This record gives sequence, structure tokens and C-alpha cells, in this order.
Amino acid sequence: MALQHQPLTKLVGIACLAALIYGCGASTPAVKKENSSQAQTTAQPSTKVSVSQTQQRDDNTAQLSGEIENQFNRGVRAMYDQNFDKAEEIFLSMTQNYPTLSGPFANLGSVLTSKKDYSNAELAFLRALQLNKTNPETYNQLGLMYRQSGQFDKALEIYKLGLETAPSNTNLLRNTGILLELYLGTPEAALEYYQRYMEIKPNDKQVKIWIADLSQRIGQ
Amino acid sequence: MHHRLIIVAITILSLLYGCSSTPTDTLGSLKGKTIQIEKDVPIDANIIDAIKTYENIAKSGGESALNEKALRRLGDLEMQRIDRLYENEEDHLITEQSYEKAINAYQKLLTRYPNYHDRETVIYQLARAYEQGGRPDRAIKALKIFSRDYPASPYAEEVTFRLGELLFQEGLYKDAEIAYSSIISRGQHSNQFYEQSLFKYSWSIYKQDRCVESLDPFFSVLDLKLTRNSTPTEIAKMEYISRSDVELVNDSMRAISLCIATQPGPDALTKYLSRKPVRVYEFIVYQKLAEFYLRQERTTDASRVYSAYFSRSNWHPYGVILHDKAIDIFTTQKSKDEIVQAKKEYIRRYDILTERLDKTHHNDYNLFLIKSDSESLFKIRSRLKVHLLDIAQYHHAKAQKTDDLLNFQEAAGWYRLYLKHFPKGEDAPRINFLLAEALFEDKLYAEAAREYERAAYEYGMHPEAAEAGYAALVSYTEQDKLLTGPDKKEWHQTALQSALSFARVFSKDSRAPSVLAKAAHELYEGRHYEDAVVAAETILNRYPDTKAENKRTALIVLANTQFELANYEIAELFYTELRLFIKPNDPLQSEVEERIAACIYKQAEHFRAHGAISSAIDEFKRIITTTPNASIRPITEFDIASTYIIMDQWQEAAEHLSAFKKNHPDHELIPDVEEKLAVAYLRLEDPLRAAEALRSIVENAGSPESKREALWQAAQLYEKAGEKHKAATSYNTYAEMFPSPLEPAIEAFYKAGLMHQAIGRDYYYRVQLEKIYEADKNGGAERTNRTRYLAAQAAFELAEPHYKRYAKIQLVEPIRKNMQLKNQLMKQALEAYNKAAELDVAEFTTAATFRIADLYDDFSRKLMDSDRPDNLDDEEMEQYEIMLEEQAFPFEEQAIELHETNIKRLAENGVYNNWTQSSIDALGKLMPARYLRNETHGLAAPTAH
Repeated sequence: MALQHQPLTKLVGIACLAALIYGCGASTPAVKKENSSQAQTTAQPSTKVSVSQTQQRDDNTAQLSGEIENQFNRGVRAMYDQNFDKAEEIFLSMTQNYPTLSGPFANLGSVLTSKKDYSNAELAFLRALQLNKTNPETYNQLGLMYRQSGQFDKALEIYKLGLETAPSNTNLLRNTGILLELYLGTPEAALEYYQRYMEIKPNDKQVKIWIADLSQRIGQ
Repeated sequence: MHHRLIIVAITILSLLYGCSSTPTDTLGSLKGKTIQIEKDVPIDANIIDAIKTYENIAKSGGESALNEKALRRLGDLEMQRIDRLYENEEDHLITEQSYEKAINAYQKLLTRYPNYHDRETVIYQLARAYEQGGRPDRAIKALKIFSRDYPASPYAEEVTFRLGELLFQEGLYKDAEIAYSSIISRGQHSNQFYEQSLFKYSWSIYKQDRCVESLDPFFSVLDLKLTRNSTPTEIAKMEYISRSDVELVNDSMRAISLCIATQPGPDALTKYLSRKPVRVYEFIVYQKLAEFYLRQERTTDASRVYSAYFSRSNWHPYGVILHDKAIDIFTTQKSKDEIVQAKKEYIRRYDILTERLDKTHHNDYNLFLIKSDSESLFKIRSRLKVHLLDIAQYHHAKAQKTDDLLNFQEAAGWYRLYLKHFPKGEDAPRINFLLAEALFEDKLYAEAAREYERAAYEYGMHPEAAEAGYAALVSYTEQDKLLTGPDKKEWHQTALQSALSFARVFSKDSRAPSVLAKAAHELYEGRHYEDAVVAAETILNRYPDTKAENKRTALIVLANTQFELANYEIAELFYTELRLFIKPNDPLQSEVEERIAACIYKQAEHFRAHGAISSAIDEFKRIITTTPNASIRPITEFDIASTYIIMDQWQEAAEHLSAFKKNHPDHELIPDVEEKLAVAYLRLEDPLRAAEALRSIVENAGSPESKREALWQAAQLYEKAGEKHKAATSYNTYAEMFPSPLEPAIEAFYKAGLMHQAIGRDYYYRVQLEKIYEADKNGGAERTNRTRYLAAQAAFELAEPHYKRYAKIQLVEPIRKNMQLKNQLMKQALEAYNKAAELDVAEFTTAATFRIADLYDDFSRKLMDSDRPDNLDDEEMEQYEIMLEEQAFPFEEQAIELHETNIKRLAENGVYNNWTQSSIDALGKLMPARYLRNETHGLAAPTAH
């Protein structure tokens, strides 16, 4: 299947991620702030549209909105089914039909990461962040993608950006810690993020062990 | 009457003297005088009666009875009576006795009357009667008395003459000489007997055997008769003198001839004349003398005399005319050489004569007369013509017989002289032709050509004209062989003009078409295209039935000319027609085919140059159908293909190019064709064919560089075409053929390896990997990051099977043997991975490190999983387990250490890849507390917004 990358490639070559995301932010339409999902490894897609939104739209808009939800949910389902090609097709199509929606871009990035198409994944994520700067999971996924593709510095930067938006996001805190410990070889820095993580999730025994081991090594 | 007798006498005398005429022929004229004397005497009608009357008187009275008057009368009547008989043609009645009575009467009168008053007449009459009565002696006596007694008589001259005549008649030449001399001495003036006397005087001397003395008087006679201001012809004809004078002249000349003939030496006449003034009639004397000799069959003398006159009068036409008569004599008597000599003399004399006449002043009347003697001059010139021609032909024939060049030259000289004298003569064209022939035979071809041309073209039409015209061309050809340089060129030009003249003037000659054909050809060669075309067209139009060869030449000229003028379309038509005139096996066929092909080719080029590409292709194709054997056929096929390329019609281009390849495998354009073919296949997206074309290029490529490029491209195309085996081979060949530069060579090995691998040829794949490793290892200064990378990769790939074999070995019974085997395989694997690691390429160093770590880990795990002895009790088993752990632990330690090394590379060198990740994952298992770090994430976007 030939992918239509044109809308994405326009963004290639922009160095500073922050500038990229925030510099263009003014032109992006305001998106309703969603309730951040704290779900780990599994996401719970919302199938309901808020009443206040619906009331402000006429019937046509309502119909359109329904269609968007449908498509989006089909994409998410394909992702769960690990049918990445189908998922890519759906989200890509949505990015073209509804270029102001961030969700399809974010999930497209996710699908592309699964397919190890890191460069296009990056573009999709960045576009998603431009459209919606407040979704911490988008930062998290982008950071993971950077880490998987060996771009550790970028990963750290995007994690930190995400933490600015959502300082208590445990995925971001944990993953930043792992990045710093294993991939960047800075256990001291990692320790700080593990500890912040523990503040939010004090009952996580695994991370507790990590902190113990780490503290011991640093102590040595 | 008397006349008759005279004629008889002449005849008799002629017999006596040979050819001399009788001197008695003047008597008739004397008789007339006699009659006049008696005029005053009355003549009775009846003379007989009168006589009888006188006779009766005499009878009656005797003779004495007659008186002087009667006697006189009787004598006169008797004379009258006899005269009447003559008048009445009763000659037969006259006898010598008939005069008796008259004589008696006169004698009686003279004796009886001595003093008779008319004694003078009576003596005269008596002399006559004696003479006529056949008694010349008495007559002479009577005349002598008369001369003595009456010298002053008016009849004295006549009487003296008659005396001379009688004396001559009686053979008394000495007395006759005196008598004639007496008359001559009286002078010519009012002397009617002068001429006759002079003549007889001459003869009288002659008769006395003094012929030399007679010559002068004889010439005097001739002087009297012939000297005259007339042309030689008129003089020779003697029409201006009386018939009797002609006789006189001829007699005189006869006498002169007779005399001269007796004189010693051949030039007696000339010698005689040398002391004399020139006479206008001398030539007649010479002629008569010569004729006299001829009658005597003294031909040599005759010819000498004929020739001699010239030395007497070289300005006289008869000096030449008579010489011609000598030549006539020669023709029957002499050798050809002598005749020719004589003829040359004729010409010499002619020249002298004409020179003399040319120099004549108008006041020289004699020469003026000669010049106006057209008859003589005509005669001379007509003979001159004959002689000139004879001489020329004599030498010509001699030359031909002996092949003597000098004779040819001489013949030519004489022919030229002939033409100089008779440039407009009837024979002139033929002679001119002969002159040319002589020159030709003398090998003077240039001159021969000119003369042949004159013979052919300057005399209008004549039987030899065409022959001459053609011979001129032959001469031109011969001369041409002798020339070189600019002379030759100029000569060629002249010859060409001559040929054209021939063809024009003798257009009906059977050789005309051939000549024209040759001319046309030469005009063409000389680049005179316009004229060449005219000539060639004339051949075809004027001689539609001429032989094929000429038509062929004409067509060649026309075709070639049009070709040269770049009228290829027309040229092609001519060439095509030309082929009909050439036999199939004639080598010319192929030449013409070449030309036709060239014509079409040029037309095609024209179309192509003007953008009419499809027309150009049509034309190119026509070459193949029309002239399939033409040498430019391959080029044409190539051009067709090239033209299709211009038109972007790659399919057609490819078809024609591959046809070319098939048809002309050894053609020099093959490299070009293959290159174009490769391009065409590339354009047609037919990489396999493109690759094959490129492989062909490799085989035929000139420079190593182009070969290298082609080979690389071919390999790529095979790859593109999915022809992996061929691609592998091509890449490998590339690398083997061009080990330097190193990087592409190694790349080629690499590609070859990939191709082999892709089609499951693992063995060959590994061979390629080994080559890569070795090539890099030995690459020296040419090594690059890329070569090292590929070498490392190769080394790693080569190590992998060792790992697989090693990992497969379980430590099961027979444990010792398996242990040994595993150890051995481990050693080999370590060695192989180390090779990859040593190259210090991050990707493969980390990979190798991971594999080595895994080797140790595997060993550790395999030890722990190994078969336990089944004969141990619990305690022993516990001991055994402890021992196993002790054995396995160092391997695990080693594994951890190596994985950690990999992780360090990640942090220190930023090397992150599957292998470092795998090391992290492995450590996660080996040391979960430290390394098992599972990241977490949710759904990137749970909603669309």
C-alpha cells in the first residue's frame, strides 16, 4: 500500500521540538481538554461525546462527529488487533479528511512506530502535538519511539516537555527514569524520576527495588 | 590539172626523202602568172580551128611561109590548147609530145628572128613548155638565158625562183643554193618568193650534206612563220598560220631534227641554241626532236631532249610540260625510284617556274603571255597534282613496307605540299586524310590529330570525312598516352572537343554513339556536368537502338552527374534504369546497387535533417528492400534504429537494433548498437534485455572504464529484472575483473552475495562473504568505512552458522563427547565472531559481542540443563548440582560482563541497535533487579480530538 506522506513531510527538518510544537500552536484550533487517561499499557477509548459539545452543533455537525468517532474507533480496534496496516490506513485517511484533529495523528504515530517507520511516526506525533499539546501520552509515545530508534537525547527532551504539561504522569516519569538509567547511563538522574514516580505510586514494589538497587550502586 | 600532178609528185618525193616534203609545190602559183602574161592576146573560142588555120598556112607555104607573128601565135595557141585540156580535166590526153608544136613554133621564132621584139616573153614561154613537156634541162637553159638577158625584167625574180626550183628538182643543189640565195639576197621586202626561197635554200644546203649550216636558215624560216606574240599554247597549235605554212614549219623542224639527230652528244640542240637568241617556239623544236627520237625508238634520247628544254628556258611552261613527257617515257622504262626522282624534278621545275612568274613585272610582255597561258598552266598544274600525289604515296607505301620513319616524314611533307598547292582540290580531303595517316604512322600523333581533324571538318562532307574524324580521336588517344601533367590535361580537353565534334558532325556514323559515350564519360570525369548531361542525353535520345554499352555509359554519366549535383532522387531513377543494362553477374551491378543505396540514403538524410522523420525511416527501409546487398545496409539499419530513437519509439528502435545485432554480428557499429540497445531496453523498462545488451557491451567494449561501467550497469539491471542468478554472476564478474577501486568491488561481492542468498544458494552466498572479508583485509590504503562495514558484516554473517551449530548441541549422553564437540564449536564460533568484532564496526561489534555473550550464557544454561547421572543418591545429587553451578557460574558471569560491555557502548558511543537492545533484554533475564526495566504507555490518543 502506498502511503500518502505529503502532509507530513512538510514538517521535516525542524530541529527544535519545542519550537515546532509551540511555535505553531496559535494557529491550531482549540481542542477540548480531555480527561487524561491514566490507563497503563491498555487505553480505554471514549465512545461518548460530551453533551455540552453536542448542544453547540447543528445536526450536520452531529452527524459528522458521529462519523469521526466511528472511524477513530475502528482504527483503535485495528491497533488492538495488531492489524497495523489497517490501522494506518484508517488514521492516515482521517489525518487527510480531518487535518485539524490531533487524535488520528497521534495514533498514526503509534501505528507507524509499531511498524518501525520511525521518521514518519515522528512527523505524525509532532503534528498531533501541534494540534493538541496537552495529551501527555502523545509525548510519552513520541519519547518511546525516539528511544526505540536510538534517539535518546530527543526522547529525553520530549519526555521532559510532556512532564511540563503533565508533571505527575507516571508513564512519563517511569520511562524517563529508564531512559536515563539504561540508555543514557546516568543512574543518579534516573533515581530522581523513580522517586517522583514513587511519590505518586508508593505501592509499586518493582520500582521500589529499582530505587534500592540504584541507590546501592550510586552509594558504591 | 597541174595540181594533181604535184600531189603525185609529192607522194613520190616523200618516198624518196623519207619525210621531207617536195619543193615543187610552188609551181601552181607560177602557172597563174603565166596565164596573166597572155591576157592581151585574144583567145578564139575555137582554138583548134585557129591552130588548123595556121597549120594549113604552114603546109601550103612551108614553114618559112609563116612570119614571126604567126609563129608566135601558133606557139601561144598550142600552149592554150594544153591548158584547156587541164582545165577540162582531160589530162590523160596530154603527153610530153603535146608541147612539141609549141616548142617548135617558139624555137623557129627565136632562130629566125633573133631580134624579135618580145623575145623576153617567148623565152619565158619556151622555158615553160620545156618544163611542162618534161625537158627540165632545156627549161633550165632557157631560164638561165632569160636571167642573163633580162635581169631587170619584172619576171626576173620569178624566173630565178623557177630556175632554183628546177635545179633543186634536178638535184643540182649547189646551183639551186645559188639561185635561192640570189632571191634571198634581194631582201624580204616585196619579195614574194623570199620565204619559199629561204626554205628551199635551207634544204639545198642540207642536201649537200651540210646540215649544220642549214640550221640557221631553217630557224630563219621558223622565225618567219612562228615568231609571234602569243601564248605558248597558241604557238604550239600553230592555228595562226596557214596549212601550207604548217607544212613548211613541220618540214623545217623535221630537217632540224634530222640534223640534230646526227650530231654527237645529248644536248646538241641546246648547245646549238646556246649561241642564239631565244625564240618563242623553241619548245616545239625540242618536242619535235624528241618525237623524232621516239619514232626511232631512241627513248632515252627522247626523254633527255624533253627534259633539256628547261635548261634552255626555265621560265617557260614547256620546260615543265616537256619534262612531263619525259616522265611519261620513264613510266614504261624506268624504275619506280627513277620515276619518282623525275617527278620530284617536275615539282622543282614547277617551283622555279612559278617563282619566276610570280616575280614577273607587268612590263615583261613575254612572261605576261606565259602567265596568261591558262591552258599550259592548267596542264602543268593537273600534272603537278598527279606527281605530288604519286611521290607522297610512293614514300608512304615505302614507309609502310619498311617501317621507315623518314619515309613517313617525307610522305607527309609531300602530302603537305600537295595541300599547299591544291587546298581546295577535289582530292584535298583524301590527301589530307593520307597526310594524317602518314603522320600517325610516323607516330606524330598530335600533328596527325590536327590533320585528321582538318580532313574531317574542313572540306565538307566527303567519303573519308567520318573515318578521318574518328582517326583523329584515335590519334588523340595515342598522344594522350605520351603526355603527363598539365599538358595532358589540356590535351584531354582538346580531344574531348574533337570527340564532341565527331559526334555532332557525323551523327549518323555508327561509331558516333560510342564516341559520344566516351566523351560523356570524360566530361563527367572533368566535372563538366552540364555538357556531360547533354552528351549522355543525346546518346539516349538520338540513338535509341545503340548498343547496351553506350546506353549504360550514358546512364552512368547521367546518374553520377545527378548524384554529384545532389539530385539524389533523379540519380536514383537513372541508376535504377541502369541496372537493366547490366548482367546480373557483372561486378558493376553491385557498384550500382551501392549508388542506389547511397541515393536513397541521401534522401533519407534530407528528410531527417528537415524533421520529416517518418519519411526518413521509410527511405531507410527502402534501402533494405531495394538494395538488400548494399554495403551501407548495416549503417542504414543502424540509422533506422537511431531515427526511431529520435522519435522516442523505443520499441521499434530496439527491434531494429537487435535485428542489426543478429544480421551483422561482426560489424564495427556493434558496440554502439549494444549501447543503444541497452538504453532502449532501459527505456522500455525491460531490464533483463538491457542487462544482456550491457553484457554484450562488456564483451566488446573498447576501454576498460566503459567495460567496467557496463558490467556494473548490467548487473544492476539483472537485479532489477529479478534475474538474481545472472545479477550475482555479473556482480561477481565485476568484482573479479575490477578489484580496484576496492569499494565498488566489495560492494559488488556484497551484491552478488545478496543475489545468491535470495535464491537460496547459501554456499555461494558464503563464498561471496569470504571474498568480501578477504578483499577488505587485503585492501590496504583503498579500505574505506564502507569496505570495513561490509567486511564486518560478512565476518558476522560467516560466524552465524557456527553459532547455530554450537547452540544446537545439548549436553546429553554421551555427555563427554558432546561436551568436547560443544567446546570445539564454541572455539570456532568465538574465533569467527572475533573476526567480526575486531573490525570495530559498531553494529557488528555489538552483534558479535552479543553472540559471544550468548555463547557463554548458552553454555552456562546447557550445563545446568545437562543430563544428570541417574545412579546418584540424594546427597550425591546435591553435590553434583553444586558442582554444576560452580562450573556454570563463570560462563554466566562472562555473559553478563559482555552484555554490559555492549550497554556501555550504548551510553559511551551512542551505539544503539537490536544487539544492544538484545543485550539489555538478556541482562533483564540474567540480572532482573538491575536490568529488567519495562516501560509503560497508554493509548496515544483515546479520542479523536
